[in-house]
Amino acid sequence: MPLQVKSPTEWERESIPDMLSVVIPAHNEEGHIRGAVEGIVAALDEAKIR
Amino acid sequence: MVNDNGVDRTEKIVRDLGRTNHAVQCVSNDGAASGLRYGVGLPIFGATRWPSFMADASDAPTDLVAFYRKLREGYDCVFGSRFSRSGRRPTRMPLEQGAHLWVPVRGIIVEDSVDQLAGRHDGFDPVENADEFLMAVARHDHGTAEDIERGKQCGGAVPDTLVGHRSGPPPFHRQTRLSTVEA
Repeated sequence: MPLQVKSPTEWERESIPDMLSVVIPAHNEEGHIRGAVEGIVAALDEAKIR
Repeated sequence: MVNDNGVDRTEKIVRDLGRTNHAVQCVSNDGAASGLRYGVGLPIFGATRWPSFMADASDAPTDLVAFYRKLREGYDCVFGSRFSRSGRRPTRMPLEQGAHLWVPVRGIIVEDSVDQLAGRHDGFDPVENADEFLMAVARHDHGTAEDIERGKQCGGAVPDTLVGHRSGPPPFHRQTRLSTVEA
């Protein structure tokens, strides 16, 4: 299922007051990007941040 | 992840990660100026808060959690402590010199763990206590001001962590453009 892209108002309307998106600008970072993405996912999961 | 005109396998790696975790998404900034990379990503990934994160593993993911919690407290932006030279902050905003070029935001410095990753550089010490301030951000500075403005328009807030460095001292030129208003 693809990520649902909604405005903050739409999230709030569905009783989700806070939605986090992490933006990672990357220019030729094939040596680091996997670790960066996996690290962010793990940290947010552990903190129960969606 | 916003592929900022890269030509290596970065985008493919992220798209592969996205096959097993649909929260991982990828867009391209093909052909646009690098300063627009946030502008490309922010409107696509709907949210109320948008941390920007370095792709070169120079930021600690756990810092993101600490910064996010500060955003929940209501700050417009959050900076890592390596942003601060010797724990000090600039104290003047040059309103006289073209105020239309600056955006005041409510920010806070939070001690980050960058030194655990890359070593603390001389002259850049951790901030002992998280400190709040009003700050002017240059509109033309790598899209940061645009991030904040866009975030506010959408009812959210934007943090920023500074700044990637893989060799030599980090590019602190951004800080020199930032000043604060006495809170």
